[in-house]
Amino acid sequence: MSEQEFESYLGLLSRFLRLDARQRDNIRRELRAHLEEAIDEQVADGVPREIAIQNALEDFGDAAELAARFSKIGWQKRWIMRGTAVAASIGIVALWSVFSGNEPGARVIAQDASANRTSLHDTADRARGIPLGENAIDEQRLTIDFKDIGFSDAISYLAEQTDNNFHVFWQELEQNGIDRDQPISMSLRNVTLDQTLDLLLREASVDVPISYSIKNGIVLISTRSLQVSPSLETRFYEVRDLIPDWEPNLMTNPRNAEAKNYKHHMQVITDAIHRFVVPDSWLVNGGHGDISDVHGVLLIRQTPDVHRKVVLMLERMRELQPILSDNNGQQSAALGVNYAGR
Amino acid sequence: MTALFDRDLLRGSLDTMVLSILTGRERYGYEIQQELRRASGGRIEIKAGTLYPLLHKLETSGFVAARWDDSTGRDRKWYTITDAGRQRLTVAAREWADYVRCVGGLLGPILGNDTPGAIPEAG
Repeated sequence: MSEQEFESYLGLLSRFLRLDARQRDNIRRELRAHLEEAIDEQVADGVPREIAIQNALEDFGDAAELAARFSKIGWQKRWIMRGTAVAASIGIVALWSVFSGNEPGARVIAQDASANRTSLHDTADRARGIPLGENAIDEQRLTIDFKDIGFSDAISYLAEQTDNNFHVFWQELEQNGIDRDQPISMSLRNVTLDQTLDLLLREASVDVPISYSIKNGIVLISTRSLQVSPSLETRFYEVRDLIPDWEPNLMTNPRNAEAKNYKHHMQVITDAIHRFVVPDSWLVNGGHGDISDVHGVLLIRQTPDVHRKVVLMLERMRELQPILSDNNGQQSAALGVNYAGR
Repeated sequence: MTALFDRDLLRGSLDTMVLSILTGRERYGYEIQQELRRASGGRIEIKAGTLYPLLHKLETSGFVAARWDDSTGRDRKWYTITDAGRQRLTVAAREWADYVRCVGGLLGPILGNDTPGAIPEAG
Protein backbone atom coordinates (compact mmCIF):
# COMPACT_ATOMS: atom_id res chain seq x y z
CA MET A 1 0.00 0.00 0.00
CA SER A 2 2.65 2.48 1.04
CA GLU A 3 5.18 1.26 -1.53
CA GLN A 4 2.46 1.99 -4.02
CA GLU A 5 2.03 5.44 -2.58
CA PHE A 6 5.72 6.07 -3.13
CA GLU A 7 5.57 5.06 -6.79
CA SER A 8 2.34 6.85 -7.45
CA TYR A 9 3.77 10.04 -5.98
CA LEU A 10 6.70 9.94 -8.40
CA GLY A 11 4.36 9.07 -11.27
CA LEU A 12 2.05 11.90 -10.40
CA LEU A 13 4.93 14.35 -10.12
CA SER A 14 6.26 13.24 -13.49
CA ARG A 15 2.91 13.83 -15.13
CA PHE A 16 2.63 17.31 -13.68
CA LEU A 17 6.14 18.32 -14.76
CA ARG A 18 5.90 20.46 -17.87
CA LEU A 19 9.39 19.53 -19.00
CA ASP A 20 10.89 17.29 -21.63
CA ALA A 21 11.25 13.56 -20.99
CA ARG A 22 14.94 13.71 -20.15
CA GLN A 23 14.51 16.44 -17.53
CA ARG A 24 11.51 14.62 -16.07
CA ASP A 25 13.49 11.40 -15.76
CA ASN A 26 16.40 13.23 -14.14
CA ILE A 27 14.19 14.79 -11.49
CA ARG A 28 12.43 11.51 -10.83
CA ARG A 29 15.74 9.74 -10.51
CA GLU A 30 17.10 12.31 -8.07
CA LEU A 31 13.98 12.40 -5.89
CA ARG A 32 13.77 8.63 -5.82
CA ALA A 33 17.34 8.47 -4.53
CA HIS A 34 16.48 10.97 -1.82
CA LEU A 35 13.29 9.16 -0.80
CA GLU A 36 15.02 5.80 -0.64
CA GLU A 37 17.82 7.13 1.50
CA ALA A 38 15.46 8.99 3.84
CA ILE A 39 13.28 5.90 4.24
CA ASP A 40 16.22 3.56 4.82
CA GLU A 41 17.65 5.82 7.46
CA GLN A 42 14.38 6.05 9.37
CA VAL A 43 13.86 2.29 9.16
CA ALA A 44 17.36 1.81 10.56
CA ASP A 45 16.29 4.01 13.47
CA GLY A 46 13.37 1.68 14.11
CA VAL A 47 10.56 3.61 12.36
CA PRO A 48 8.09 1.25 10.67
CA ARG A 49 8.58 1.30 6.90
CA GLU A 50 5.07 2.52 6.12
CA ILE A 51 5.43 5.50 8.40
CA ALA A 52 8.91 6.22 7.08
CA ILE A 53 7.51 6.39 3.56
CA GLN A 54 4.79 8.76 4.64
CA ASN A 55 7.27 10.98 6.46
CA ALA A 56 9.56 11.09 3.46
CA LEU A 57 6.73 11.96 1.08
CA GLU A 58 5.49 14.65 3.43
CA ASP A 59 8.91 16.23 3.24
CA PHE A 60 8.38 16.73 -0.49
CA GLY A 61 4.89 18.14 -0.10
CA ASP A 62 2.13 18.22 -2.66
CA ALA A 63 3.19 16.69 -5.99
CA ALA A 64 1.44 19.28 -8.15
CA GLU A 65 2.96 22.16 -6.20
CA LEU A 66 6.45 20.65 -6.38
CA ALA A 67 6.08 20.00 -10.11
CA ALA A 68 5.06 23.61 -10.65
CA ARG A 69 8.22 24.79 -8.87
CA PHE A 70 10.40 22.63 -11.09
CA SER A 71 8.56 23.57 -14.26
CA LYS A 72 9.09 27.25 -13.57
CA ILE A 73 12.85 26.70 -13.58
CA GLY A 74 12.68 24.43 -16.61
CA TRP A 75 11.14 27.23 -18.60
CA GLN A 76 14.22 29.37 -18.03
CA LYS A 77 16.47 26.42 -18.64
CA ARG A 78 15.73 26.40 -22.36
CA TRP A 79 18.27 29.15 -22.69
CA ILE A 80 21.01 27.17 -20.98
CA MET A 81 22.03 30.16 -19.00
CA ARG A 82 25.51 29.50 -17.85
CA GLY A 83 26.70 33.04 -17.95
CA THR A 84 25.50 36.11 -16.25
CA ALA A 85 25.35 39.55 -17.69
CA VAL A 86 27.67 41.90 -15.93
CA ALA A 87 27.00 45.56 -16.27
CA ALA A 88 30.34 47.24 -16.72
CA SER A 89 30.66 50.60 -15.14
CA ILE A 90 31.79 52.82 -17.93
CA GLY A 91 29.20 55.56 -17.87
CA ILE A 92 29.65 59.10 -19.06
CA VAL A 93 28.76 58.42 -22.67
CA ALA A 94 26.14 59.02 -25.29
CA LEU A 95 24.24 61.78 -23.67
CA TRP A 96 21.12 62.87 -25.39
CA SER A 97 20.04 62.39 -28.94
CA VAL A 98 18.22 64.46 -31.50
CA PHE A 99 16.46 62.40 -34.10
CA SER A 100 16.81 63.49 -37.67
CA GLY A 101 13.21 62.65 -38.47
CA ASN A 102 10.21 64.91 -38.19
CA GLU A 103 10.16 64.88 -34.45
CA PRO A 104 10.35 68.32 -33.00
CA GLY A 105 13.32 68.94 -30.80
CA ALA A 106 15.23 66.52 -28.74
CA ARG A 107 14.45 63.17 -27.35
CA VAL A 108 16.30 61.01 -24.91
CA ILE A 109 17.32 57.74 -26.48
CA ALA A 110 17.55 55.33 -23.60
CA GLN A 111 17.15 56.27 -20.03
CA ASP A 112 18.96 54.37 -17.40
CA ALA A 113 19.83 54.78 -13.78
CA SER A 114 22.23 57.67 -13.48
CA ALA A 115 24.62 55.65 -11.36
CA ASN A 116 27.87 56.76 -12.94
CA ARG A 117 27.12 60.39 -13.49
CA THR A 118 29.79 62.63 -12.14
CA SER A 119 29.22 65.84 -10.33
CA LEU A 120 30.62 67.60 -13.38
CA HIS A 121 27.56 66.49 -15.30
CA ASP A 122 25.17 67.39 -12.61
CA THR A 123 26.33 70.86 -11.92
CA ALA A 124 28.06 72.34 -14.94
CA ASP A 125 25.81 70.86 -17.59
CA ARG A 126 22.56 71.35 -15.82
CA ALA A 127 23.51 74.97 -15.24
CA ARG A 128 23.80 75.42 -18.98
CA GLY A 129 20.48 73.71 -19.49
CA ILE A 130 21.70 70.74 -21.52
CA PRO A 131 19.33 67.82 -21.11
CA LEU A 132 21.11 64.62 -20.26
CA GLY A 133 20.29 60.97 -20.68
CA GLU A 134 22.42 57.90 -20.81
CA ASN A 135 22.62 55.07 -23.20
CA ALA A 136 23.17 51.67 -21.66
CA ILE A 137 23.36 49.66 -24.87
CA ASP A 138 27.14 49.49 -25.00
CA GLU A 139 27.88 49.42 -21.34
CA GLN A 140 26.93 45.87 -20.57
CA ARG A 141 29.22 42.92 -20.88
CA LEU A 142 27.68 39.56 -21.63
CA THR A 143 28.79 35.99 -21.38
CA ILE A 144 26.99 33.80 -23.88
CA ASP A 145 26.86 30.03 -23.97
CA PHE A 146 24.23 28.92 -26.47
CA LYS A 147 24.09 25.26 -27.43
CA ASP A 148 21.52 24.62 -30.13
CA ILE A 149 19.22 27.31 -28.82
CA GLY A 150 16.33 28.40 -31.02
CA PHE A 151 17.00 31.76 -32.71
CA SER A 152 13.97 33.39 -31.08
CA ASP A 153 14.99 32.03 -27.66
CA ALA A 154 18.47 33.49 -28.15
CA ILE A 155 16.90 36.89 -28.86
CA SER A 156 14.65 36.61 -25.79
CA TYR A 157 17.68 35.74 -23.71
CA LEU A 158 19.56 38.84 -24.85
CA ALA A 159 16.51 41.02 -24.26
CA GLU A 160 16.14 39.70 -20.74
CA GLN A 161 19.81 39.81 -19.84
CA THR A 162 20.35 43.36 -21.07
CA ASP A 163 16.91 44.60 -20.04
CA ASN A 164 16.29 46.06 -23.48
CA ASN A 165 13.18 46.06 -25.64
CA PHE A 166 13.61 44.02 -28.80
CA HIS A 167 11.26 43.88 -31.73
CA VAL A 168 11.80 41.27 -34.45
CA PHE A 169 10.00 41.62 -37.79
CA TRP A 170 9.32 37.88 -37.92
CA GLN A 171 7.08 37.96 -40.97
CA GLU A 172 9.77 39.71 -42.93
CA LEU A 173 12.43 37.27 -41.70
CA GLU A 174 10.26 34.23 -42.45
CA GLN A 175 9.63 35.47 -45.97
CA ASN A 176 13.39 35.41 -46.38
CA GLY A 177 13.57 31.79 -45.25
CA ILE A 178 14.68 32.45 -41.69
CA ASP A 179 13.25 30.03 -39.15
CA ARG A 180 12.67 31.32 -35.64
CA ASP A 181 13.49 27.87 -34.22
CA GLN A 182 16.69 27.34 -36.10
CA PRO A 183 19.40 26.21 -33.69
CA ILE A 184 22.14 28.65 -32.73
CA SER A 185 25.38 27.74 -31.01
CA MET A 186 27.64 30.50 -29.74
CA SER A 187 30.13 30.76 -26.93
CA LEU A 188 31.39 34.25 -26.05
CA ARG A 189 32.85 35.88 -23.00
CA ASN A 190 32.81 39.50 -21.92
CA VAL A 191 31.27 40.89 -25.11
CA THR A 192 28.98 43.85 -25.76
CA LEU A 193 25.42 43.47 -26.95
CA ASP A 194 26.57 45.09 -30.18
CA GLN A 195 29.18 42.39 -30.84
CA THR A 196 26.81 39.61 -29.81
CA LEU A 197 24.06 40.81 -32.14
CA ASP A 198 26.48 41.14 -35.06
CA LEU A 199 27.50 37.49 -34.69
CA LEU A 200 24.08 36.13 -33.79
CA LEU A 201 22.41 37.76 -36.79
CA ARG A 202 25.13 36.58 -39.10
CA GLU A 203 24.66 33.03 -37.78
CA ALA A 204 20.91 33.21 -38.33
CA SER A 205 21.01 34.79 -41.79
CA VAL A 206 20.21 32.61 -44.78
CA ASP A 207 20.52 34.55 -48.06
CA VAL A 208 19.54 38.04 -47.07
CA PRO A 209 21.54 39.41 -44.17
CA ILE A 210 19.64 40.25 -41.02
CA SER A 211 20.51 43.57 -39.49
CA TYR A 212 19.54 45.54 -36.46
CA SER A 213 19.05 49.16 -35.58
CA ILE A 214 18.04 51.06 -32.48
CA LYS A 215 15.14 53.43 -32.70
CA ASN A 216 13.66 55.19 -29.69
CA GLY A 217 15.50 52.81 -27.40
CA ILE A 218 14.05 49.67 -29.02
CA VAL A 219 16.33 47.18 -30.76
CA LEU A 220 14.72 46.42 -34.14
CA ILE A 221 15.70 43.30 -36.05
CA SER A 222 14.84 43.06 -39.72
CA THR A 223 16.05 41.95 -43.14
CA ARG A 224 15.50 45.32 -44.78
CA SER A 225 18.74 47.02 -45.60
CA LEU A 226 19.07 49.79 -43.11
CA GLN A 227 21.99 51.35 -44.92
CA VAL A 228 19.99 52.95 -47.76
CA SER A 229 19.02 56.08 -45.91
CA PRO A 230 20.90 56.20 -42.67
CA SER A 231 18.94 57.89 -39.94
CA LEU A 232 21.34 60.38 -38.45
CA GLU A 233 21.08 61.42 -34.90
CA THR A 234 23.03 63.89 -32.86
CA ARG A 235 24.43 62.94 -29.51
CA PHE A 236 26.55 64.75 -26.98
CA TYR A 237 29.66 63.06 -25.61
CA GLU A 238 31.25 64.23 -22.40
CA VAL A 239 35.04 64.16 -22.91
CA ARG A 240 36.27 66.65 -20.33
CA ASP A 241 37.63 63.78 -18.30
CA LEU A 242 40.00 63.10 -21.21
CA ILE A 243 41.49 66.58 -21.03
CA PRO A 244 44.26 67.03 -18.47
CA ASP A 245 43.88 70.05 -16.17
CA TRP A 246 40.35 70.83 -17.25
CA GLU A 247 38.73 73.67 -15.39
CA PRO A 248 35.27 75.06 -15.97
CA ASN A 249 36.54 78.59 -16.60
CA LEU A 250 39.38 77.46 -18.82
CA MET A 251 37.92 79.11 -21.88
CA THR A 252 37.52 82.59 -20.51
CA ASN A 253 40.74 83.71 -22.17
CA PRO A 254 41.10 81.77 -25.42
CA ARG A 255 44.70 82.91 -25.84
CA ASN A 256 46.11 81.51 -22.63
CA ALA A 257 48.15 78.32 -22.42
CA GLU A 258 45.38 76.22 -20.84
CA ALA A 259 43.02 77.09 -23.64
CA LYS A 260 45.64 76.06 -26.19
CA ASN A 261 46.14 72.82 -24.32
CA TYR A 262 42.39 72.27 -24.40
CA LYS A 263 42.18 72.94 -28.14
CA HIS A 264 45.06 70.58 -28.74
CA HIS A 265 43.43 67.75 -26.81
CA MET A 266 40.04 68.22 -28.44
CA GLN A 267 41.75 68.09 -31.81
CA VAL A 268 43.53 64.85 -30.90
CA ILE A 269 40.23 63.25 -29.87
CA THR A 270 38.40 64.47 -32.97
CA ASP A 271 41.19 63.31 -35.29
CA ALA A 272 41.28 59.89 -33.67
CA ILE A 273 37.54 59.48 -34.23
CA HIS A 274 37.77 60.70 -37.85
CA ARG A 275 40.63 58.41 -38.66
CA PHE A 276 39.77 55.23 -36.79
CA VAL A 277 35.99 55.02 -36.40
CA VAL A 278 34.44 54.08 -39.80
CA PRO A 279 36.59 56.71 -41.59
CA ASP A 280 34.47 56.88 -44.76
CA SER A 281 31.38 57.85 -42.81
CA TRP A 282 32.58 61.37 -41.87
CA LEU A 283 31.89 64.57 -43.76
CA VAL A 284 35.62 65.36 -43.90
CA ASN A 285 36.11 62.10 -45.81
CA GLY A 286 33.08 62.43 -48.06
CA GLY A 287 30.59 60.78 -45.71
CA HIS A 288 27.66 62.18 -43.76
CA GLY A 289 28.75 62.31 -40.12
CA ASP A 290 29.98 65.43 -38.40
CA ILE A 291 31.74 66.43 -35.17
CA SER A 292 32.04 69.72 -33.39
CA ASP A 293 33.03 70.53 -29.84
CA VAL A 294 31.55 72.80 -27.24
CA HIS A 295 33.32 73.27 -23.93
CA GLY A 296 34.62 69.74 -23.60
CA VAL A 297 31.50 68.14 -25.01
CA LEU A 298 31.62 66.60 -28.46
CA LEU A 299 28.52 67.03 -30.60
CA ILE A 300 28.39 64.15 -33.05
CA ARG A 301 25.87 63.61 -35.82
CA GLN A 302 26.02 60.04 -37.05
CA THR A 303 24.10 56.80 -37.58
CA PRO A 304 23.33 54.76 -34.46
CA ASP A 305 25.80 52.14 -35.59
CA VAL A 306 28.71 54.58 -35.81
CA HIS A 307 27.63 56.17 -32.52
CA ARG A 308 28.08 52.80 -30.86
CA LYS A 309 31.59 52.58 -32.28
CA VAL A 310 32.38 56.09 -31.10
CA VAL A 311 31.37 55.03 -27.61
CA LEU A 312 33.81 52.11 -27.77
CA MET A 313 36.58 54.33 -29.12
CA LEU A 314 36.17 56.81 -26.25
CA GLU A 315 36.10 53.91 -23.85
CA ARG A 316 39.48 52.72 -25.16
CA MET A 317 40.87 56.25 -24.94
CA ARG A 318 39.79 56.44 -21.31
CA GLU A 319 41.64 53.22 -20.62
CA LEU A 320 44.75 54.47 -22.36
CA GLN A 321 44.66 57.97 -20.93
CA PRO A 322 46.96 57.25 -17.99
CA ILE A 323 49.60 55.86 -20.32
CA LEU A 324 49.30 58.79 -22.70
CA SER A 325 49.46 61.29 -19.86
CA ASP A 326 52.49 59.51 -18.51
CA ASN A 327 54.36 60.12 -21.73
CA ASN A 328 53.54 63.79 -21.52
CA GLY A 329 54.72 63.87 -17.95
CA GLN A 330 51.30 65.07 -16.84
CA GLN A 331 49.15 63.77 -14.07
CA SER A 332 51.02 60.51 -14.08
CA ALA A 333 50.82 59.78 -10.39
CA ALA A 334 47.14 60.39 -9.83
CA LEU A 335 45.99 58.72 -13.02
CA GLY A 336 48.39 55.84 -12.48
CA VAL A 337 46.49 55.00 -9.35
CA ASN A 338 43.15 55.16 -11.12
CA TYR A 339 44.44 52.96 -13.87
CA ALA A 340 45.72 50.33 -11.51
CA GLY A 341 42.32 50.26 -9.89
CA ARG A 342 40.46 49.44 -13.07
CA MET B 1 14.90 22.31 23.03
CA THR B 2 15.47 25.14 20.61
CA ALA B 3 12.68 26.03 18.22
CA LEU B 4 12.91 26.06 14.45
CA PHE B 5 13.35 29.42 12.80
CA ASP B 6 10.33 30.90 11.14
CA ARG B 7 10.08 29.92 7.47
CA ASP B 8 9.39 33.45 6.33
CA LEU B 9 12.56 34.56 8.06
CA LEU B 10 14.61 31.94 6.21
CA ARG B 11 13.15 32.30 2.76
CA GLY B 12 15.55 34.88 1.38
CA SER B 13 18.72 33.26 2.63
CA LEU B 14 18.29 29.53 1.93
CA ASP B 15 20.15 29.64 -1.37
CA THR B 16 23.06 31.42 0.34
CA MET B 17 23.15 28.77 3.05
CA VAL B 18 23.08 25.95 0.50
CA LEU B 19 25.95 27.55 -1.41
CA SER B 20 27.95 27.90 1.79
CA ILE B 21 27.44 24.22 2.61
CA LEU B 22 28.83 23.34 -0.82
CA THR B 23 32.05 25.31 -0.30
CA GLY B 24 33.52 22.45 1.72
CA ARG B 25 33.13 19.66 -0.81
CA GLU B 26 30.85 17.99 -3.31
CA ARG B 27 27.53 16.90 -1.78
CA TYR B 28 24.19 15.38 -2.78
CA GLY B 29 20.71 16.64 -1.94
CA TYR B 30 19.91 14.47 1.06
CA GLU B 31 23.31 15.23 2.54
CA ILE B 32 22.82 18.98 2.09
CA GLN B 33 19.54 18.76 3.95
CA GLN B 34 21.16 16.84 6.81
CA GLU B 35 24.17 19.13 6.95
CA LEU B 36 21.98 22.23 7.14
CA ARG B 37 20.15 20.71 10.08
CA ARG B 38 23.37 19.69 11.81
CA ALA B 39 25.21 22.98 11.24
CA SER B 40 22.26 25.00 12.57
CA GLY B 41 21.93 22.89 15.67
CA GLY B 42 18.61 21.60 14.44
CA ARG B 43 17.07 25.05 14.04
CA ILE B 44 17.00 25.14 10.25
CA GLU B 45 14.96 22.51 8.43
CA ILE B 46 14.75 22.75 4.68
CA LYS B 47 11.96 20.68 3.20
CA ALA B 48 13.02 18.35 0.38
CA GLY B 49 10.25 19.96 -1.67
CA THR B 50 12.01 23.31 -1.26
CA LEU B 51 15.58 22.07 -1.52
CA TYR B 52 15.45 20.36 -4.91
CA PRO B 53 13.83 23.16 -6.90
CA LEU B 54 16.35 25.48 -5.22
CA LEU B 55 19.28 23.28 -6.27
CA HIS B 56 17.97 23.14 -9.82
CA LYS B 57 17.59 26.90 -9.88
CA LEU B 58 21.18 27.31 -8.68
CA GLU B 59 22.30 24.88 -11.36
CA THR B 60 20.40 26.73 -14.08
CA SER B 61 21.96 29.99 -12.94
CA GLY B 62 25.42 28.44 -13.12
CA PHE B 63 26.13 28.78 -9.39
CA VAL B 64 26.45 25.03 -8.90
CA ALA B 65 27.39 22.18 -11.23
CA ALA B 66 26.11 18.63 -10.91
CA ARG B 67 27.01 15.11 -12.00
CA TRP B 68 25.54 11.66 -11.51
CA ASP B 69 27.55 9.02 -9.75
CA ASP B 70 26.65 5.67 -8.24
CA SER B 71 30.10 4.57 -7.08
CA THR B 72 29.05 5.03 -3.43
CA GLY B 73 26.51 2.24 -3.89
CA ARG B 74 23.64 4.66 -4.36
CA ASP B 75 22.70 6.52 -7.49
CA ARG B 76 23.18 10.16 -6.52
CA LYS B 77 23.33 13.57 -8.12
CA TRP B 78 26.37 15.35 -6.70
CA TYR B 79 26.58 19.12 -6.56
CA THR B 80 29.66 21.36 -6.48
CA ILE B 81 29.85 25.13 -6.21
CA THR B 82 31.22 26.94 -9.30
CA ASP B 83 33.39 30.06 -9.44
CA ALA B 84 30.29 32.10 -10.22
CA GLY B 85 28.65 30.50 -7.18
CA ARG B 86 31.56 31.49 -4.96
CA GLN B 87 31.32 35.06 -6.18
CA ARG B 88 27.59 35.06 -5.60
CA LEU B 89 28.13 33.67 -2.12
CA THR B 90 30.68 36.35 -1.21
CA VAL B 91 28.32 39.10 -2.31
CA ALA B 92 25.35 37.53 -0.54
CA ALA B 93 27.32 36.94 2.65
CA ARG B 94 28.40 40.59 2.78
CA GLU B 95 24.88 41.71 2.14
CA TRP B 96 23.67 39.43 4.88
CA ALA B 97 26.18 40.82 7.38
CA ASP B 98 25.07 44.29 6.40
CA TYR B 99 21.45 43.34 6.87
CA VAL B 100 22.12 41.85 10.29
CA ARG B 101 23.91 45.02 11.37
CA CYS B 102 21.12 47.18 10.05
CA VAL B 103 18.28 45.21 11.65
CA GLY B 104 20.34 44.81 14.81
CA GLY B 105 20.67 48.57 14.94
CA LEU B 106 16.93 49.00 14.60
CA LEU B 107 16.11 46.41 17.20
CA GLY B 108 19.04 47.18 19.48
CA PRO B 109 17.06 49.37 21.88
CA ILE B 110 14.53 46.58 22.36
CA LEU B 111 17.08 43.83 22.86
CA GLY B 112 19.67 45.67 24.91
CA ASN B 113 23.13 46.71 23.82
CA ASP B 114 24.81 43.36 23.31
CA THR B 115 23.51 42.91 19.73
CA PRO B 116 25.87 43.21 16.77
CA GLY B 117 23.83 46.14 15.51
CA ALA B 118 24.68 48.19 18.54
CA ILE B 119 28.34 48.19 17.51
CA PRO B 120 28.96 51.27 15.40
CA GLU B 121 30.07 50.61 11.83
CA ALA B 122 33.82 50.74 11.41
CA GLY B 123 35.39 53.31 9.12
